[in-house]
Amino acid sequence: MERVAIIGIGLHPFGRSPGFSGLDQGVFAARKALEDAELEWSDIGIAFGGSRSSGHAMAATNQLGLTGLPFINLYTGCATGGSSLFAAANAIKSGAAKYAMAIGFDKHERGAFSPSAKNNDIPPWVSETGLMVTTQFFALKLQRYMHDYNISHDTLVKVAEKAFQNGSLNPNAWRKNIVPYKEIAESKMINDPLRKYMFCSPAEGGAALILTSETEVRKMGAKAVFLEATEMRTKSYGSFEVYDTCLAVNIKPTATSNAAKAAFESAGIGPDDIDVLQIQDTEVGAEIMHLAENGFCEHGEQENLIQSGETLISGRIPVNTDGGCIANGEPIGASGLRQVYEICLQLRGQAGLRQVLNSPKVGYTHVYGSPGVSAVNILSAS
Amino acid sequence: MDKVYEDLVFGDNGLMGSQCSNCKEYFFPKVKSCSNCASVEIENKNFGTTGRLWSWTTQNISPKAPYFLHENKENFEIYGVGFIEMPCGIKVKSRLQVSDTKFKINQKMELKTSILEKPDGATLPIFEFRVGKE
Repeated sequence: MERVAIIGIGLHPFGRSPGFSGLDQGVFAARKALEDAELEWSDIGIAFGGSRSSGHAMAATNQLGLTGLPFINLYTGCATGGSSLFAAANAIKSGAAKYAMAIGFDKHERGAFSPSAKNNDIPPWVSETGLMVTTQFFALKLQRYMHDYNISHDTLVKVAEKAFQNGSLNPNAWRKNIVPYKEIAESKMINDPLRKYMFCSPAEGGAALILTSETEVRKMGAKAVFLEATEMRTKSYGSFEVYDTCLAVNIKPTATSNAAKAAFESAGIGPDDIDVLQIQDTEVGAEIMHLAENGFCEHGEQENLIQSGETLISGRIPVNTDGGCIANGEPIGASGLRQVYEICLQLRGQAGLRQVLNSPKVGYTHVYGSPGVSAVNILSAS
Repeated sequence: MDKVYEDLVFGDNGLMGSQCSNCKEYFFPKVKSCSNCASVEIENKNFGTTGRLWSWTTQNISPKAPYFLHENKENFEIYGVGFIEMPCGIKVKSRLQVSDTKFKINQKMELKTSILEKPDGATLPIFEFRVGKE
């Protein structure tokens, strides 16, 4: 089957940008992506975009130009960016347009998100009594995981340490300062075993990607990164996902595991073939658990992998080379697209100080969002 | 008792949920249809008053609204959150009463009902689990 190609990438720096709305940051990213692809906005035949706190993504057309294109707003929690790309890639596959854009942006208030029980078909008393806090889910999942697979507290600290190290090499990251081990390990407890510096925080930013078909790329003679697979899954019965008020007698694989399995199958590529990867790191435990759920190791092997430095930029499977969500913060609409932006830079050899050596050829991205949504991509340099 | 809690049964009667008549899966709180087999034949199920701690965490900072227990940051008290594995195997999410000892996975937990004061002075009955005697 013909592949989908990414021919333009754009990003507005993540973090705090006073004076710029979330939408402004999305428009900035879209213009960067158009410049990168050497296209005009009027060339874009269809767009998919998302934002949680910055209004309708489609409103970006007020600044980009009211060309009348089909523009679809979508929202799938923190997986919104991944879902935008999934939809845009399928639009290209279907022949709906020659060029498609996936765009996301956001500008969130400080502090943890306050999810709505009503919007998730959950009785209001669950949030009223303090049982619907997203960070609790990660802590509950991790606490059990550490018990079952002997993951140490030291390993949790090392994942955060790596995120800030990588962020310090990324001019677009929010957190550009290295945070020492001791400071992470002694930072305020938020949800045992997770401390302040082990979490990502809601932030601001924008990202955009431009897609076309492989045939079109050849005609244009353009440089591109190719999507070998793009898959998205929502939770299936029995999996342990965010906001669950009960867990089944027999716990089943997560939305992440199911999306990853489908992507590797459709690409005909295995986890061992991946040279650089982005894994949803809402907090350190998520990065640890998602490594195994995506198939990059067996459950429990993360302890040795991380302790031996295999997930560092210089390691065998470099994870979150741009600092991930922990160093970039999370603007929900943009986050999943930032992951793909970083992999494109790595595959194009343009990642600067954080470039993975020996010209990585194949990359991977994984995003996770409430209430149990995962989107993954397998990308190749040629 | 607050209307939203009418569907929950406290105290001696145990925690109430649902069981699918077709595939026999359990749910908490009560559901209208089964998310496993999609059957709408659902029965009430009493999960009892004791279980084992399947996982736990603590909530060390006050959640944002609509959380209204200890809304005032000055009087916020750390509480526990856990999944309790009930005798039938379902794990239910619950507040945990924080004790001096640290929680341990697999320890015995007992259902406890309590009355908490809302910021406006009204009271609200809620359920919690606390560490039980082995």
